[in-house]
Amino acid sequence: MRRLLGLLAVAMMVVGLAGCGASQSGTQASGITVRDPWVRAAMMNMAGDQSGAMGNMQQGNMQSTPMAGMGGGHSHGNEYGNTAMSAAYMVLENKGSTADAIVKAESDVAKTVELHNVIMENNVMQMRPVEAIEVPANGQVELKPGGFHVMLIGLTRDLKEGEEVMIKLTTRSGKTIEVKAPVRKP
Amino acid sequence: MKHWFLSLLAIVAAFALSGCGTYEFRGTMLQPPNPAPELPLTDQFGNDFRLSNYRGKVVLVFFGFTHCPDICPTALSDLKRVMEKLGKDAEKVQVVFVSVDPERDTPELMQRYLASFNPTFLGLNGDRAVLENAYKDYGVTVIRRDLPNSGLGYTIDHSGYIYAIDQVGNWRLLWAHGTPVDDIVSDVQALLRNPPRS
Repeated sequence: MRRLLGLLAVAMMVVGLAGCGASQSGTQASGITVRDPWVRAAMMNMAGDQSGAMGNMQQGNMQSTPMAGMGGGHSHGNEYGNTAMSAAYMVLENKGSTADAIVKAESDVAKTVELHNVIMENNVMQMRPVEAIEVPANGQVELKPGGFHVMLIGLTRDLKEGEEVMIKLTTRSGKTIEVKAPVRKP
Repeated sequence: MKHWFLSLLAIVAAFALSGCGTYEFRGTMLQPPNPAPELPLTDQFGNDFRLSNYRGKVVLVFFGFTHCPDICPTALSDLKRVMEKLGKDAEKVQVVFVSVDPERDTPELMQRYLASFNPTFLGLNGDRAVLENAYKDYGVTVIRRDLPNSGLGYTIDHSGYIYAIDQVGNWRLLWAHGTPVDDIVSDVQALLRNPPRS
């Protein structure tokens, strides 16, 4: 009888674990898993559509100083100007018994993808790139507005509500996690 | 006895309705209220902006920049929700976004950025010297930080307060970042309910 009970317990555990694995849709990692991902809706710049006075002025500048190597003719403005951005948020869970971290993020919707944090000191907001987002063993970290986020710099397309964005995360332990994040209003 | 109780109730009700029952603002009050420093800047459509043109309205001011994808959109979407919750009273309120990053906040970027929140929001930019004065006048911290290892190039550390200027142009309140939308709505409604006389 006791052996039967033991078997039953093992069987339940197996089912339980399998269930865990299957329920993590959009993720495929044993250590860090992702839930509730989302990306802030954002529009690209007006390059391409009807430009106002400023757009024309900038185009004027462009003609007087032709920039070699700038293909497509979409990138006008200064070095960092006219860059559309957005941010991705999610909850990182670590069910493993060893600490891990996200060390890299990639996505085809932005030219550059970085890991950032916002620190608030005396109500002054300071945004800083970070090398890694640490996720303690058996713990979780929430990426949310006003804190850690995956920053999408230089959008390659408009991010409209209802769409989905693929983001690839790399962990320090060398795993990759594919995240499918819905786009939500700002 | 019943009579006595009813008249007391009437007095209490009259008192509450008269507005004498002082409303407790949820934001930080500025005492005494002083005239808000002028913001002689230009909006995202190229029109001159003057606070003095908004007498009779409550003006809500936020300092931020478009290359701030995290905090600024949070504050602006809070303000968007404030306007929605105010309903018809939103006509008596003007939201103003003052740039802390004049180089990158071009009119076209501001137009698109603000339109995604509320098309009535105005984005102000102008001469650096004028802006610097505005930051000083409103006690806004603005520090440029170079980020050599980031695709951003640089970021701007800045204060996250929202300021309320009343119908006669006095600077009345400020709310810290993250103040619940309902608290801001309640304070704005109180300002609209009891417009200052002077």
